Amino acid sequence: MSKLNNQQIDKLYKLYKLSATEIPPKEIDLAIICNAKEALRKNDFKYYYKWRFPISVAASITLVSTLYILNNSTYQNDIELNSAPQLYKQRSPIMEAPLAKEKQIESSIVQQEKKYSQDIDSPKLELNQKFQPLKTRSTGPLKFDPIIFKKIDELIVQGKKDEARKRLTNLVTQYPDIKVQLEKRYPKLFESR
Amino acid sequence: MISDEDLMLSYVAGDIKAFETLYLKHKGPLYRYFRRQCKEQDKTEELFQDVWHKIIKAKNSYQRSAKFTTWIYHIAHNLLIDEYRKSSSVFQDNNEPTELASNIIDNLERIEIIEQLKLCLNNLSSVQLESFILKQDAGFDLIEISNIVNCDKETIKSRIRYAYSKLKICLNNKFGTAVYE
Repeated sequence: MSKLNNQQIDKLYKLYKLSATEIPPKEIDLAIICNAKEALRKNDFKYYYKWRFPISVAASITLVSTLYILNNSTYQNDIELNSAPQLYKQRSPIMEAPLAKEKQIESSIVQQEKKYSQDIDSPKLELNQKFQPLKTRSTGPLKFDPIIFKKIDELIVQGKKDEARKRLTNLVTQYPDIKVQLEKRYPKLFESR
Repeated sequence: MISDEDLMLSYVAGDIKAFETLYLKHKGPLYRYFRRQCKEQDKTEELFQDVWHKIIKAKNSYQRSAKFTTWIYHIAHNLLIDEYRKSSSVFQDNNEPTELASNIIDNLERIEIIEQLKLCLNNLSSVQLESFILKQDAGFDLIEISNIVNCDKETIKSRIRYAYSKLKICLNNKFGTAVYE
């Protein structure tokens, strides 16, 4: 085997460098770079996939905490009511005895009240029944729509006293309870009647 | 200038430009590494792509402590060995000098010498050729080559020395000593 000196090796090296011109086709370049891009995209998905449970748990905790903080006052009242020890909540038999009596009285009152309210509510309106306002009972002075009085006032001002009187009579026949009230308001019309 | 390792880590972090830079830097030497050692063009391209696909696939396991070039050529070397096991046609262990097509050697031109050199490279044994390419094309030193091909440094040194000698003889046979002067 013949020996080479450094100069010869350099020359050979330069020659080799000149010969080393082959490169991969552009299609291969593109394919490899596309593959690298695709791998990065998949990696992003994998990253999410890996962290999906911790992220979901963290989001849930955040949501619950936020809701709790926002509604803290409501919870606080509830806690104060319910946080008393169970012993305090329980009643002893001694405590129960007057309570039972109290309950008896209460229930009798409730029954009486029910009966009373049934009596009051008995005349109930049915469908297609003509409404007859407050004929069965009176709960104090009636309040009329001011338009009714306005109409009568207008008729008086216009000098149509007969018509005004007619309306007044209708009103009195319809609502006898307000006769006194109307007599006070329209004394002249009542006098001339 | 950003090192290969930093570029690789940037790519792992999601920077595709870093990968493009890395690819442009190494595609030539790596392609020639296969081109010189494979008989078929298709096989060269297939192995070349395989290396890059392996790099992309294993990117998350890449650690800075490993030198990028050593890593990729180690993958390339293993692929080549696998391919050699599958088919013996990958390597050419033909020590007989291949005849240059041109009969005209009086009028020597550089291009002819280069073409002859390529043919002479084919006459090297597979291990000599691999060591020679790793040194001359990829620019590795002896220790790095020994790490890639799993051999001791002295063996690599010897392989390269024999490769140079064989190339010299091959070229001298064709063109005489004029090539070196």
